[in-house]
Amino acid sequence: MFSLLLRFKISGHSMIPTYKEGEELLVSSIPYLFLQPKVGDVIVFKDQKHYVVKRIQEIKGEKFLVKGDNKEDSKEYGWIEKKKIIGKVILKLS
Amino acid sequence: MLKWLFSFLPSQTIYAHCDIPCGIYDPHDMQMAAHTVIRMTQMIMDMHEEDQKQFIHQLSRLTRVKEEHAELLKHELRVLYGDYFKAEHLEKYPELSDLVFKTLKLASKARQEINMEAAEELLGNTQKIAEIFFETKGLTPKRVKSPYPTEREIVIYEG
Repeated sequence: MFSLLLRFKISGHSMIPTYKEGEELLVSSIPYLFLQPKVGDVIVFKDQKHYVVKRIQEIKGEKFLVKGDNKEDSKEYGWIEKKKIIGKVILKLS
Repeated sequence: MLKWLFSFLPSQTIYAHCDIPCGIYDPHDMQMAAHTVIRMTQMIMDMHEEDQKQFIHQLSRLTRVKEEHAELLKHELRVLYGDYFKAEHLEKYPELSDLVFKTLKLASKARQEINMEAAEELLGNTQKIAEIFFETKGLTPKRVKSPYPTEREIVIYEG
């Protein structure tokens, strides 16, 4: 999925301390036109009806294991397919 | 500045919630942990030093359980506050944020000290939070006597 530039506002606490609730992020798929997503990238993907932000923990082919940064309550989210990735977080706006 | 620069882009909500959005939350474990902190505090206060080794051994065990349950309570409360409660709940219950803050501090105090007053207040706060939780679910909270040796109350709900 190609996304030139998308603006998102965070709801929830699973990315603390990197990103807090209410902060805004810029997301783009342009970096992934040239490079493969890598471990450590913070990505946005579509999960059923919601957009979700997580960090890539492990990669197996076209599948990505993602997890939140919040060690207090973030368990592994699970594996997602590459086609679900909307883009990479490239900038925090606030 | 950056925010202004990109203000032309529509903002959408992105979810950074508990990693498996199962929707299953309950204040029960938090209340049980508060009862355990009270019970451990009671048992520590009732100890008598007859055999020093036995005393130290038992004190270590009771202290460890008190520590663990105070931390468990804090964990459960952080999950409720961070993942379950929403902005609209904070609007409806403006006391909630302060109550959560004070409860976290009380849990630390009850963990660090042999302090029955703090342990009692900790249970009282978890009961208030449990009542708010059930109300946000459209349920009627009810305080009943717990079946635990603490003989204090626990908050349940009526359908």
